[in-house]
Amino acid sequence: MRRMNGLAAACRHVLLAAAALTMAFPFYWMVTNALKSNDEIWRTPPTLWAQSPNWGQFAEAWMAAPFGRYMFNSIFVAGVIVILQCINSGMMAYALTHMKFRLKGAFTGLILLGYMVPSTAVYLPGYIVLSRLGLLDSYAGLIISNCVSVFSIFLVRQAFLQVSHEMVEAGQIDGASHFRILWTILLPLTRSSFAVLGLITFIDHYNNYFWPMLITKSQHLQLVSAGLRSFFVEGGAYGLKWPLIMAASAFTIAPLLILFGLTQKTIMRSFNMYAGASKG
Amino acid sequence: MKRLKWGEDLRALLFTLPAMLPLSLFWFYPLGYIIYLSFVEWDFMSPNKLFVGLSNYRALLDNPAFYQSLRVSLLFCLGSVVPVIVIGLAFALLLNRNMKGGAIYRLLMFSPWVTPTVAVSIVWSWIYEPEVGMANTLLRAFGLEGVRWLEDPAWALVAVLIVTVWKSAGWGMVFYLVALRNVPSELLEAAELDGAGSWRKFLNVTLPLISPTTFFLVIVQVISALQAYDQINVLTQGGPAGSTRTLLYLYYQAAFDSFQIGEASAVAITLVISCMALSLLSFGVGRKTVHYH
Repeated sequence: MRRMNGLAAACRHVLLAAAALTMAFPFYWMVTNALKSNDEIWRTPPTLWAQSPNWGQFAEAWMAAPFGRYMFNSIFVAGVIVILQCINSGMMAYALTHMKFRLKGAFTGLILLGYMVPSTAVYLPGYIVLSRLGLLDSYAGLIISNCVSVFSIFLVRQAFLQVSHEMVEAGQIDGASHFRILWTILLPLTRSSFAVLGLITFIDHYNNYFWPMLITKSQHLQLVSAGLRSFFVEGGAYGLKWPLIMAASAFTIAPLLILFGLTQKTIMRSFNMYAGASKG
Repeated sequence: MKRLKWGEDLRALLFTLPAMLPLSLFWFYPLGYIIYLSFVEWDFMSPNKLFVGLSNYRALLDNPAFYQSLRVSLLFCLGSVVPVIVIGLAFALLLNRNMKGGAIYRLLMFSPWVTPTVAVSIVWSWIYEPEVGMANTLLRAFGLEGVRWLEDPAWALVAVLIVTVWKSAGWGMVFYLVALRNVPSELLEAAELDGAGSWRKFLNVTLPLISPTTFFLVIVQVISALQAYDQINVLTQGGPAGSTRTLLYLYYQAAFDSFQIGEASAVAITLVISCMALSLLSFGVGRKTVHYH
């Protein structure tokens, strides 16, 4: 019986290792191809590791397009969006869970409706709204059009519902203002939900491509995905500079893999929350 | 007392304003606006929009490209949902026991999900390169012939789907890990006492207990498949010969390439209706099939 278990465990490890290596292979392939020379990259069969790794190609790719700017744009825009969403989701969720007011039912219904509408489907009218506001092709447009998320409101609402209403009422009887209750009672109790929310929102918006690409034209406003994509298309993609393209992809992806490595536990915890939120 | 109530109403509205204002501007108003746009003829430039009733919808029903994209979208949903569920569950079952190195496996399998779709799609387009790409090198190693992944209409959708599944399988896995942890071990032990083998246990105990998760994953994955854009844009741009042009891609092309705003909006409405129907379904069924707690 013992031996059987040992065998089963070994099988399990072999299968898992194979699966994990397959999943990670594209990342490995990206890095080795970023290190190959233009001759070597076209060799058949492909070499598994660069013969004389040229680490300088990362610097070369970095200089070939304003990647510093792209990355700054992504981090800045995503960062501001995270802050705004934490604030407005927190306030909205507080009103929906711990305040009594006339339109509460209607607002909850609206949020539910917003939850069901696919965001990509309203990109066209959203674009028209943004152009009427004169916010096309600007940081303000990139930020304001993304500064609220129905999903974030949902998650925070879920977290606030777990907080007992008596605690909030006690605060209200003591004469504390709503802001004070939100800040000193609810926020400390739900800090981990906000951490998850901030992290997931940051990743989403750092990676965002379709909408930012639609509403910006200037090169200096492009987020990193759009910048990388135009480097791919213009930079002689079809054949010429593959090692540089791989290098550029690598330093676009690297910050996220590092962030994920550091915050793995928080991100994984988010799945418990999603699963909870979906149960309504 | 009455005055106090009004004050509270006002304060509550103040709390909802920072969210409701942008939501109305970029979510609710656009939703109403696109319904209106689907009933007009407009080219984006001209100052007046011509009301044409249902003719945009009729044009859609006469347009073979619409049926093609409907088919592509359906295939995209099926071809991404089923593998994500099956692979995600398989990974989760393998990982379920507390084992040495489990955290590292989980990290590697999940990592594609956090990376930017555009960047990883570019990496995949190099893997799909017909002459020296890894995909064809592998096929040849098994004695098969290489494929023109991104240029052959028979393979382009498969290529896009592989990237999509690769990116989401780890995401499905994590949900299943949570669900599997919630399966009460007493039930499994009871089944074991009744003489059930591991396959029976899986089929009769585990699978029904994790069905709410499966259902949730199907709905969410279908909705995200309907909205897939980045990987299609990088890999195939809807081609070749429309073989990867989904409903969303058709909508985007009609609106921003050929400026047929009315018809584009009609396509968008079909998307909105499909997604809303799916969400409603998930709310409805979700309430009825809560297995745990």
